[in-house]
Amino acid sequence: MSSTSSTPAVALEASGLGKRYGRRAAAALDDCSFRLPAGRISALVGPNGAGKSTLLALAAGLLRPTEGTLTVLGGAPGAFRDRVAFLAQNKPLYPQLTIADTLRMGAELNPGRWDAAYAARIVEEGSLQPGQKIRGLSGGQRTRVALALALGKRPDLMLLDEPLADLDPLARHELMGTLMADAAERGTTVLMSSHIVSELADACDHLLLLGRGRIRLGGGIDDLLAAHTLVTGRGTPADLAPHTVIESRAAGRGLSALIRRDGPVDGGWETEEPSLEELLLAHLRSPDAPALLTPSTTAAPVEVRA
Amino acid sequence: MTTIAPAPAPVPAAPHRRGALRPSGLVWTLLRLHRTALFVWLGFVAFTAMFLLWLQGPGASATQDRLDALGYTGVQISASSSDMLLGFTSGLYNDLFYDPGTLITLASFGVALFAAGPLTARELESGTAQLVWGQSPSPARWLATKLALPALFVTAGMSLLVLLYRLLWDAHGNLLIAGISPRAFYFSVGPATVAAALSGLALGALVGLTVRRTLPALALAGFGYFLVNAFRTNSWPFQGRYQQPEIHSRSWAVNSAGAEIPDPGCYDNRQCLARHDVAHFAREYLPSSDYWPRQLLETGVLLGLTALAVAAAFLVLRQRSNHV
Repeated sequence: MSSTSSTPAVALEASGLGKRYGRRAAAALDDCSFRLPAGRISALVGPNGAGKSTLLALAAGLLRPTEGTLTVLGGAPGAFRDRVAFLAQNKPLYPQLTIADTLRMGAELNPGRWDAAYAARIVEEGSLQPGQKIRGLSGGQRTRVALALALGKRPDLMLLDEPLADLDPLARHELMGTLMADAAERGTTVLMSSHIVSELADACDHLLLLGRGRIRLGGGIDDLLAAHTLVTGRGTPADLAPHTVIESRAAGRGLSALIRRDGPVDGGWETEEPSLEELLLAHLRSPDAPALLTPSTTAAPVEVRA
Repeated sequence: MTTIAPAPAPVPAAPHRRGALRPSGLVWTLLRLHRTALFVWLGFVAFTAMFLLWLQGPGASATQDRLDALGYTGVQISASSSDMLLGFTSGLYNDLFYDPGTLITLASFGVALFAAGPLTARELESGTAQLVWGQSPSPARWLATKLALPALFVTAGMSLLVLLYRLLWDAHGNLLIAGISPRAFYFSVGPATVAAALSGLALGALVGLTVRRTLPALALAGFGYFLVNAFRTNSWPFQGRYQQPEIHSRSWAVNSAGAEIPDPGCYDNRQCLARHDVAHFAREYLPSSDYWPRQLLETGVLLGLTALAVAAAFLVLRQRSNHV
């Protein structure tokens, strides 16, 4: 199975992936299947406890799946540690080290890949001194150092768990810019979880929506937005058949609904393309809506291949 | 399934020129992270080694003089005087001689606690282990380095101390009051002392990786090593329920002509000693043929325990993480 021009390279592919913490606990991931094409900047969203952190840690090779398979850059998770960067949600760093020592550790632990100048620049842009101890940094400053450590190894796949949560708006904007520039320049695949939808809309071109341990929505953001329509008009949800109604509510004298189109929409309805935020909120509010994965995001069947 | 060809590696900047012996990679990281622990260990080894050298030299001279003059009586007189060291601890040679042994036991407890707490459980609890696993080396290499590097320092330090202690015994074991203490000492210090510290390291790491929380790991590792240490004082099943074998000592006197004469039994009566023409006394412990079988068997058992704990630690890590 080699890379051909007709099949886009796959950065991440999950098939029937499941993870359960302890025998009696509910599954954090359950029969989760998807595929993330290489070179995409994908937003991993979902309600709290949906399994986002679990999925990222599994992909980083830090956890063992309970069932199913996960392929990362064409190998088992952890097979290409040198090409994968992982930023955990709590941004762990050694408090007793200085920033300079932390970056030196990045160089020592990633021989042959480490870009010292790049990592140092990310730290300097936050006006941090190399001699400062990690212990004395604020949450946002620690996030910056942790990101420098993740970016400095020049990975092919970046797994970022809420990378922006405790950054100030300016730092968030600047670091997202760095991240996007790096991804655009080097074709890095990024999978980042976040709750900040407005940032995601600017930065990401791909979406994975997790709910109850599975992918509810997956694909290029443009494709997903184009597949849905916001309709308003007089009628009931039943009038919207054969479209799939994701969410509907009364609006003034009529009905406002987000539908997944099946053919053209009847002329009696006012239509509008939803924003990413509207799409996400509708799906988060309706966890029972059927899943939608675009063809490039659908995992290949394990045995049968077309 | 398609495979991505590895992207061309960026031009690596070479920030640190390193010589052949400069540590790098995981070794550098570990030395840097546990710098304080390393300094404490080196300080302990240096202090205890100096203590042993002092006991070998200046510390022994007063008691040695009494042995020369009065024989075993002189040793007994020394051991019943009220010497104080530094004003708060017994300055008796018979007491000081065993103190490095206490320090060595405490240090091996320290090794077990270090392995359970800072080396493993704290890393898992604070998430820094995941930080390192997110870099290039696999968790298995991480654990292997974490075990091998401290094992190297523990083995080197403990071996040096045990060697010095055996030299001290050979030189001045004769200055000890006979009884259970010299016997227990004689049979316990040797390769098994080093193996015991290594088993503490392995046991601590296993507990730390299993429990994954610092405080419970410290408590459990302390208790576990306490059990090992309890067995070490002559209670291994293979040693039976009996005391250590007897070790024999030999005392004799030498007259002014240099000839060996039997101890005249003068106690500390100088006139009596002069009448028997005693120039000086000598005393020595005879080596026991039981020493090596007991030491090697115990060392074997402890190293076996160490190997089991290490294997279990890797299994636990494998259960938890996905290491290739």
